Amino acid sequence: MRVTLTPKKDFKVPVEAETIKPDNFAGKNKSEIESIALWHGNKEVKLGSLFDVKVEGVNKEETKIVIEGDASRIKRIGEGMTSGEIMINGNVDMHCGAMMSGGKIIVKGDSDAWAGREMIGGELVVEGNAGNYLGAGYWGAEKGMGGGMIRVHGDAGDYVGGHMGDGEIIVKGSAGLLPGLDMSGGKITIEGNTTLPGGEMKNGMMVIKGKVLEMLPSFRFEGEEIVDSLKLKKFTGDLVRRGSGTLYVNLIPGE
Amino acid sequence: MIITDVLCPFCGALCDDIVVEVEKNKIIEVREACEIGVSKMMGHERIATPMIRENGELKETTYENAIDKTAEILVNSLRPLIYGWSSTTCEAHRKGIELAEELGAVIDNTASVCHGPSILAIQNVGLPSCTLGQIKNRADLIIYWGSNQAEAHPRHMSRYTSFPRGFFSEEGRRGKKVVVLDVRKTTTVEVADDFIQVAPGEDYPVLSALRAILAGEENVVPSCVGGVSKEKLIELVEKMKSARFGILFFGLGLTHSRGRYNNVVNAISLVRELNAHTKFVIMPMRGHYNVTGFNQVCTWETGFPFAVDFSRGQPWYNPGETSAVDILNREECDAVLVIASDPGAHFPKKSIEFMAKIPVIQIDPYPNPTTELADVVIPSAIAGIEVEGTAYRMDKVPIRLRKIIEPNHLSDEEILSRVLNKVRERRGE
Repeated sequence: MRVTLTPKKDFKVPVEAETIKPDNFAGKNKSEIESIALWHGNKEVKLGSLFDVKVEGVNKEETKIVIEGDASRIKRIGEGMTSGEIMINGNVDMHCGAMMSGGKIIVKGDSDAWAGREMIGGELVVEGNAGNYLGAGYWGAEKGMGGGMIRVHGDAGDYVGGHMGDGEIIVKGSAGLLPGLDMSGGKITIEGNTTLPGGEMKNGMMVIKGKVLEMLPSFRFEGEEIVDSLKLKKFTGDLVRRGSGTLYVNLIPGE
Repeated sequence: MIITDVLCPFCGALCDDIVVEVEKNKIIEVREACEIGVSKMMGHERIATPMIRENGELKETTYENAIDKTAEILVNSLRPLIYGWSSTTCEAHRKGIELAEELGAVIDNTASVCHGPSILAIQNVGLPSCTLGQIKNRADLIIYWGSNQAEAHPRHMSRYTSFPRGFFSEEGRRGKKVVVLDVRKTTTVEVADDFIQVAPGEDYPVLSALRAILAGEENVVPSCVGGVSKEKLIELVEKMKSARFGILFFGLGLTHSRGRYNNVVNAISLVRELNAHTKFVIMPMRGHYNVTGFNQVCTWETGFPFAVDFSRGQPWYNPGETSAVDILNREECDAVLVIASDPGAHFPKKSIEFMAKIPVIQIDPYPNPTTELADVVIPSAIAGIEVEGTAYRMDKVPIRLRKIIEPNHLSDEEILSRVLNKVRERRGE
């Protein structure tokens, strides 16, 4: 089943749409989908009042949701999804794919902050840039991302993979400040540049293929190793807490 | 008439030893307070009457009309923002949170542009702290990091830290060491024993270096971190370890430089780890006299300290998403109620440009730049001068504000209560 949603207008007041996920659409007909509840500001509204809905096919197993147009004010799309696929042909607002455990989300444009927050499975692909807190944990959360895969084709903001426990994040562009903050497991690969990676890192692995613009003073240099056919410098830390995380770096400041 | 033991409703140090002379319901002299406190308590130009903007001009009106107009704007709003709170009583906070819940609004206080990052950090790693009285009586090492309290909290050092003689600090200033870390030589440095100049935005690496040294890993620390030599860092760690009772006060230099709440996480973690060697505590230098109070009231009412979004009925909290500046910069809200603060003077240009486009309601005793943006202006009585109530000092100790003179205006609490009644009335229609 393929459901296409087209926003009827540009929203300024954001829509909270954790109900837009394949688990919730599966087996429903057009009018049932149109009557799914969403929040627009402080009003609860029906999906049909904000989106044009088109339903094709009836196969219950393969639910695919396509959002045509700008979703940059639609939060929480695919939050908690377990299966199926969501394709967003544009930008998307915060918390896209938060806490998802299965299925796949493809964002053709940019994602705002908190994409893939605390996800434990499935795949999230952002073809544009990702905002801050990609795959991170909510305030005070013991763990951020706990499994699954996030790929960003562009750049990512600050605090990529904050408190990450498991899973994998690949950023093809550069990342902002302090990626892998308080990380305890999993793998983060940044193909571009970044700043102060691995603050409070306990465990897990981070690979920076570009340049680290600034290094923390609390990592121990262990020598050079070949990773992904690149000769990289290996560091261990964060020693502020006797961490045993592994940080592979191509170029350090001054190089 | 001379009134003693008056609280000063200006900064988070909340001095409670002020002497005020009153004649014919007018304050004629303020003693003991700092210069800023004297100026605040002596008062200045007030908003005389309620006003509503018509054709671009603020026109005088009655409280009833202004409150009715406020209720009308708020009831018709899809995402109202209620912001301010730090210069009024906890009793008004409580009423404001009730109003926010009734409306499905976002409620935020000035912490979101000052010590909000500190609160986020505390949620991550806790806060080993104490009261200012403990510090006065016990501390022998006082560190100010990114805080120029000689100018922002002028009596902080004389009342609570460097200068007073306490139960276990009979020598006063001679028995205490004061260290300042900042990006420049501030006025505070003049009365310090040591000054460590940190390069702007380098607080996080400097704190990491201190923690690495403390953890016995000084061999990995480079010879210079964030503009500070390794020798100096080792010396500071030794000084901290050998203190009997150390306190680290931090200001916006730490919370709003690069790394923000993570700087505070790092600082709190350093203090926590120092407790393996000696007694060490940490405290944010809170700004407005009752900014702490709002965070207390909001936490016990909603479970969250600031930036609470009631739009879905239950509270949701996510600074960066539900905080005032972020909502305004994204042009999300469609009405703003400002109370006991002045975003017009302190918010980024983008936020103010958007405020100029949407209905703004101001509740405040004084005209300020926010008044220029406001469509409805409701004057209020001055909390702590004309209204009694509760305020929380920076160390979270609640103290009773006193009423010194009779007000000519309604209190914030009374105005909010009437707005809430009007909102319910309109909802019921």
